[in-house]
Amino acid sequence: MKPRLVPAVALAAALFTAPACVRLRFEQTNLQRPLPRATQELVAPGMSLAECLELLGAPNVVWEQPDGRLALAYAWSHSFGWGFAASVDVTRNANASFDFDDLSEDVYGLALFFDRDWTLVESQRGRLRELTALRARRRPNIFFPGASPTPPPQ
Amino acid sequence: MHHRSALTGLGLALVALLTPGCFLSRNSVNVPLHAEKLAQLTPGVSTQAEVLASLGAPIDVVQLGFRTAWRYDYTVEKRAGLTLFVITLINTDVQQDRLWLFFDEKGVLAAAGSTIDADKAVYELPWTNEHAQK
Repeated sequence: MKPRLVPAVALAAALFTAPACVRLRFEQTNLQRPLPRATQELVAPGMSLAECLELLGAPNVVWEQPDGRLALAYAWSHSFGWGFAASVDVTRNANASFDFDDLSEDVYGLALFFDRDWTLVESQRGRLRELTALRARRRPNIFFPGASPTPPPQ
Repeated sequence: MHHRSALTGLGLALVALLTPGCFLSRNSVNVPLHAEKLAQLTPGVSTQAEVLASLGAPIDVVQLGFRTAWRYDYTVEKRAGLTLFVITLINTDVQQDRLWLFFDEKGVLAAAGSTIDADKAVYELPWTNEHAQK
């Protein structure tokens, strides 16, 4: 091989083999669309659960609070970033279920809190993990055939 | 003449190298929710048995004291990507059809909320961000 061809061949070899061992990755993920701000602002204490559902659609998360109260949340997420090497995940998994026990930092949302009669008492916006941090965790759903429903907390 | 054919060859080689680096993928989870079936559900009238007969088993059930909330959903994920040698660019959009049904102590539908957005999932160029939160 002619000496002047050696650098070119080496460069070509590097370009062909590099993707197998080095990878630079940019990834962005949108999980659902944010609720329009104008729609969020229509939510007001005193509204019924049915009115809130009619206005906002189906929530992403529903959970029980003490004394038979109810909470639900609408969530959305946009994450992006660079990663180096194949083993680095730069965004959260594309899981649209927004598991109550596994809310990541970049999940934003609107949380609604209802009383025992399912009338809206309070609404909050922000990072959903913070909004739900001090709230009651959802009880596990365990059903036994023929058993009566779980009694409400005293 | 010699240079022109070399450039043409180089251009073809580049196209051949880059074309396999583009990809689109689509994944879905569960089955679509049909608006006509949702319209048949009537608060104050529909029972859990009727809902089961119409929609099948829910994805999730949340116990709310003696009351319950049932969840149905259908998720579509669309992903577009481009790989240029060592750089990979990916854009993923995930949208969902979702239905929550709230039942009273007697198992009668008290309230329902639905969102039909799964068909709004889009393939986007990796460097665009049309739907980020505002």
